Amino acid sequence: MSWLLAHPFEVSELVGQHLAIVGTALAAALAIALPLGYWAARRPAATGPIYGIFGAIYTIPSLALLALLVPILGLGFWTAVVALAAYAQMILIRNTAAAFQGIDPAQVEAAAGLGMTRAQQLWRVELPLALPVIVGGVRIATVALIAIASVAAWINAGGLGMLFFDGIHRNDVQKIVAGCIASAALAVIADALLRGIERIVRS
Amino acid sequence: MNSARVELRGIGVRYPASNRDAVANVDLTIAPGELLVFLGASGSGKSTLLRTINRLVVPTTGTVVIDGEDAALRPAPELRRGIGYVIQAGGLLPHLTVGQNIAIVPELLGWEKSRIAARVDELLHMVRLDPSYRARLPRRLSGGEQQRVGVARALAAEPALLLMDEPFGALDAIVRSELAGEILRIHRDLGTTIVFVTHDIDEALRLADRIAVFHDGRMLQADVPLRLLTHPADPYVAELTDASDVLRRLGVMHAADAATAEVPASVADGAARIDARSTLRDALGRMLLEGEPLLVVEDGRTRGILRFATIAAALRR
Repeated sequence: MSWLLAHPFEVSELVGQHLAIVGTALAAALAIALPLGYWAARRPAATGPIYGIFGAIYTIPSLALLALLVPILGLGFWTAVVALAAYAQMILIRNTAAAFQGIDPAQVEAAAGLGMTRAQQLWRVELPLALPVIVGGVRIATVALIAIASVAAWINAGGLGMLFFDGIHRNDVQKIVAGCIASAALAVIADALLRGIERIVRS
Repeated sequence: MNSARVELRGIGVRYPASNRDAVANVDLTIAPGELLVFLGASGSGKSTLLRTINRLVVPTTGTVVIDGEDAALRPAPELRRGIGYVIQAGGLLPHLTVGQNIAIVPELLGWEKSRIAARVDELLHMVRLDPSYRARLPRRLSGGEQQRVGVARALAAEPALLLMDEPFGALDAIVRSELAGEILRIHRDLGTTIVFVTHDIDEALRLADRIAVFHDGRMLQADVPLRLLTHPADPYVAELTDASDVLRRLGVMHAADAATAEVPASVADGAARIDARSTLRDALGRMLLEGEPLLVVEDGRTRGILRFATIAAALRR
């Protein structure tokens, strides 16, 4: 704790890097998971293979996944982003598909019956109704990515993981503890924030 | 009066995975201002046929003609904005308030905000809901209130045609009957052509100007309620309507139909009065309680008298 307070600038820089990795990975993951989840929701036959592929990726240990990606993408920020985005897929696609599947078909049909075009049905009815569950998935994925992102320091992508690796390297327990506290705090804050958003979109 | 004529010409529907017609070759013309009921069990094709009218189901064969125009020639969303549509409970959008739900079609049509707001107030009044309901979410409403909002929403853009697909199916009998009364009142006030789907024979008899009976995708008979009871065209219709049920038959006959023309001077003043538009079923009830004869009056003028014997004669006619 004392180390954290003694090095505010170093810590805030690492937090910034950590959030940049997680945020970019989440944005990339959502850009894939939202359309894919929406598409899969209407095709039960497709969900099996999709869940299978991303479920398999999810089981690869994070260090191993990074080790696999380094020869292809090199070291650094974007490699970490790709790895984290791949992890997030599993959670986000499942939640997105479940969100759209959970909509009462009668409501979509009512919207069609009132004269909404296909696009209006999606934007005015399906998306607002699916949003609470999707945001719930984003929350779970965010917390998971904040934890996993610590490993990114191993491939020179920066972030709070720097404190772990530095601490282990120099046998500095203070630094390791500081890294633990900082990343846990980040996860808790992100969780609370997204819970708040979830509550807003649900009401 | 804003009422559409609907012609169903040789409508057939077969779903891709099925080897049986969901609707088989239906020809039917619905007159402007008519309240037509599609009656049948589930799976009889009545809902499917209804949904061909607003093109939620595309007929495999045949043409839907609305006011002389082939409905298939217009873009489906545009067609639907001109046709009111009410479905069973699930129809209101849960993330929108009552007011926003009612405003959907006027908004799609690009009405001005002030005009929409005024129309929402007018409609809440029409379906007898307090203006304070405007800001409520559907889940805070009872089933009956939700369905009132559903009716208001369907009528928002003053459609010439209203389609109602088992609108009261999820409601209890008392609320059902109350809402059926509201539909009759609205139909009388607006003159909108209404097609109403139900599996409930008594609801059909109460509401309908004419009833079309469906079974296994075929339309067996389309006729006024009394004819359906007295001259069923098919054994299934006879079974469904149970024509031997005398009270049911009296329920679709009116006091004016059975009243004797002349009124003997001896009964003119003391007798109980009944409105000419009352059903003979109600008249019979009154006579059992208050004795015969009843004086049949219409708009303050005496039309004749009713006795047990005149009712019996009307039944035999």
